Amino acid sequence: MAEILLRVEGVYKYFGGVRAVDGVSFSLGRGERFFVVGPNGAGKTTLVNLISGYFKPDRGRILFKGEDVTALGLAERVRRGIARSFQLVTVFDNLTVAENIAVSVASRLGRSRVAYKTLSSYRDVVEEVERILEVFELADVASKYPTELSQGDRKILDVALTFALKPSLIILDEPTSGVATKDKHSVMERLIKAFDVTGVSSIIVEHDMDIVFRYARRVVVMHEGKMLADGDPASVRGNEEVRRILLGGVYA
Amino acid sequence: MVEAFRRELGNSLVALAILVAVLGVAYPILGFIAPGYAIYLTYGVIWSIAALGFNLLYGYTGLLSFGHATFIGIGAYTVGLIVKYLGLRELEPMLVTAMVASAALALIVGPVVLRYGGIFFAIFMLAIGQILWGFYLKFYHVTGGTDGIKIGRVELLGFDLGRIDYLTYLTIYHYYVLAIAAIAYIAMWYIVNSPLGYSLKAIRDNEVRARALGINALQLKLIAFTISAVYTGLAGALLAPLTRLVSPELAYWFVSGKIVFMTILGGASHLIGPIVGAIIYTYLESIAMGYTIYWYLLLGILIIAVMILSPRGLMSLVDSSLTRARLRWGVWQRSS
Amino acid sequence: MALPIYVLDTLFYSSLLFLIIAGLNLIYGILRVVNLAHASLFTFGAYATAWITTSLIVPRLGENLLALMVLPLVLGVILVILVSLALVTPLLRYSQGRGDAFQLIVTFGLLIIFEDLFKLAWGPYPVSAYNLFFQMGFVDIAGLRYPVYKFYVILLTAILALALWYVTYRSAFGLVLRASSMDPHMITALGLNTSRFLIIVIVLASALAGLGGSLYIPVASVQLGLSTEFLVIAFVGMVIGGLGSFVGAVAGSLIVSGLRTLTLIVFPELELVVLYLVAVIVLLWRPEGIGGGRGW
Repeated sequence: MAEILLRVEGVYKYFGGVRAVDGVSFSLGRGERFFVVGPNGAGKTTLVNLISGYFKPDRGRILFKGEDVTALGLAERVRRGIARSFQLVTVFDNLTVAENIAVSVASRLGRSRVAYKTLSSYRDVVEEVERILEVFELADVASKYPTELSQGDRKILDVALTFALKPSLIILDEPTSGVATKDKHSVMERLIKAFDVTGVSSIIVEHDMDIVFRYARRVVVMHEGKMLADGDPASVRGNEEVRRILLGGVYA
Repeated sequence: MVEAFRRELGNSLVALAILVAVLGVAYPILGFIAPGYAIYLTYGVIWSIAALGFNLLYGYTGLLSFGHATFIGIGAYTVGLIVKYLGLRELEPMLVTAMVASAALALIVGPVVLRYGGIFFAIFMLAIGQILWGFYLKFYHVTGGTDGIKIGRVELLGFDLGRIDYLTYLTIYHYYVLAIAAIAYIAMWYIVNSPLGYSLKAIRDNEVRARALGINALQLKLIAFTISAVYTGLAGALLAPLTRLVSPELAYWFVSGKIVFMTILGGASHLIGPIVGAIIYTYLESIAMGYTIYWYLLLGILIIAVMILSPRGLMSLVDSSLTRARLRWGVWQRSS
Repeated sequence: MALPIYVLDTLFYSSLLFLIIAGLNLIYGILRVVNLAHASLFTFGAYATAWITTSLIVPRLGENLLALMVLPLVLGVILVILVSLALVTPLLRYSQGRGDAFQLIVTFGLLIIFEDLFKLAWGPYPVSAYNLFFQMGFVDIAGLRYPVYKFYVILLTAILALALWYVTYRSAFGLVLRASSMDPHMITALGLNTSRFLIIVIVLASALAGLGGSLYIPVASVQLGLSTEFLVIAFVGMVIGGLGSFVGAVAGSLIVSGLRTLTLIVFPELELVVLYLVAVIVLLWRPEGIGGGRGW
């Protein structure tokens, strides 16, 4: 049993009269991963915002690496190793793929202020950039600019930037949205491979059920702020209520 | 892998070296064929230092300052006031003081002004420049007001150059300035290719994302702003012995506009763009001034024309013709 | 000293500022363009009115009060509108959507073109036309003589501001102004031709600036560099009042004018410093300015 990295205990978030998150509890071990699914308005994004620190819960606790981080803000949580990626791809369009990642690595190593040595002369930065390019299969496009990349590669670059900060937990918000259908699978595969190889824990919000049932080993289903189910894909698929709400009976 | 860290022609040390060599060789040649125009080469080199400083902020960090004349003024008046009140003649301590004074102002106003971008930043810088310009004008007991402060000959590297003829003095000054410029160019090359340089570009492209990656944007902008100020202040100080008169005009916001224009003329996305732009602009200005007293009219039309026709500057034109040539060469090679 | 005099002087100066800032805010609010050359139209209005007064009106009609009040103003504003249509409007329309840097540089080019056009037409020396000022005479305020002309300007501008307020909040055109400053698509959504609408906005803004210059010239002389002087202060008013806002133009011009009057009494050298310090403080406290954030 892996060491517990994240524990969410009885968390509630209200917006006016709306219970966006209505009593959610779960725990996630180091190196583990689960997918979060649910219809629109189920509270997935709010949950993600609560974990990353964008919102603070109205009730409940969030423990990360044993520490109570409930009261900490976004920057504080980032410092402790919780990183989050957004739906909209935000990368640096006027830097090459390698330079993009290098900026992130340099920031993590605290080198961003150095003005008297070239970036490429830092061996450790260059090596780490090469490693990340390998892990995400971006080595072929290292010299290209983000605008020259496929949408799938752009998404992966975006995640790679976050990944370069060496967080313990990465939260991805719909990583395959906007990617051409034929590329969705390869994008998810590459991301998962990178996480598995390096042991980073992840929470992935996904809408595409195909992807979820293909790659997930643990699925959390949300509906109207509550957690409907939390388990392996087969048992989730078998759950009557989930089938009704989510799958509309398509998957038997 | 290192070639993934793009280095086009306009950003290479080689290009800088060639440029410095050209500027060194061109001077005596000009002195031969068109003596009156040689001095503008020196002016051009001085303004290129200012433009490089400006572009660190504009091209690399994405902050347009419409008030860089502020630092030209600080640099020039530092020299003027030291000559007037301390009677010093050695240029080096004056240059250092000018750079320190510029850095000081940048560090004082930076933390406030850098929280804003776009129009606000541009106009704030304009305002600061105008405030100082107003001081230079009004405190005439100290600054000489519109009459300014006269500067005689300065001592370079400890040498008293009072005895030699004026043309030789100017020639020595040219190479002195060129040597300083060469150091400035190389330093800027390092800055632009350093972690700081890349982080600034990231801030320019997407500040929010950069901050999400842990980059302290305000701090890095402040560093860039200070370096920018130091470069421009240095240029201002180097101007004084050449113009021989330190007057408020050097600090008027039109000078800021010129710095912006010469950078854009050369091309803000290349390292040597501002240098090329500064030198070409200096010549255009001197030709226009000799041609008519309504040279602001000509300049204004030129500015609008360049912005409409070639907003990415001359270096981008060079880039596209090089790309076309490379393509043509590639095609020719394949077909032969 | 005499408080009423300071209040009146403040109102006078704020009237002129309002006419400039209103135009700046119209152009920024609806076209999202910063126009560094806007105050040049103020200066042109002053030059044109001076010239019309001294060369056309006085030689033919003498110092006739009515003629001096109406003709130079009307003719001056017409000239400003013509120049705006010829030079300013096309450039501003072209600059739309091309980014801050482009607009600042291009309008800077326009500004220096204007400076030399002024020099070409009227030379580098101050030009003046105090005729109307003296024709209107003086009144007694708190034992001091105060020019009737300044009352006239304050009154005229107040009426104009009210008219502008009425148009903005009670008319169909005003509705389009307000809506389009929040979303440019509203122009066509509300059934108007975008091109024509924007040109009207620019012309209106230019006319206001030119009017300001026309009202300015009887009390002072105009010369090169006046544009910059007013531009720098108008921008402070824009920032304090709120970019692109009508209410902001009113608030900004009054506040800046008041501050300026105060500062000129106590620390004349620090006039600009105080103004910009206050602008920074306002920005730190309320980044949209006092009346801003809601478009026109």
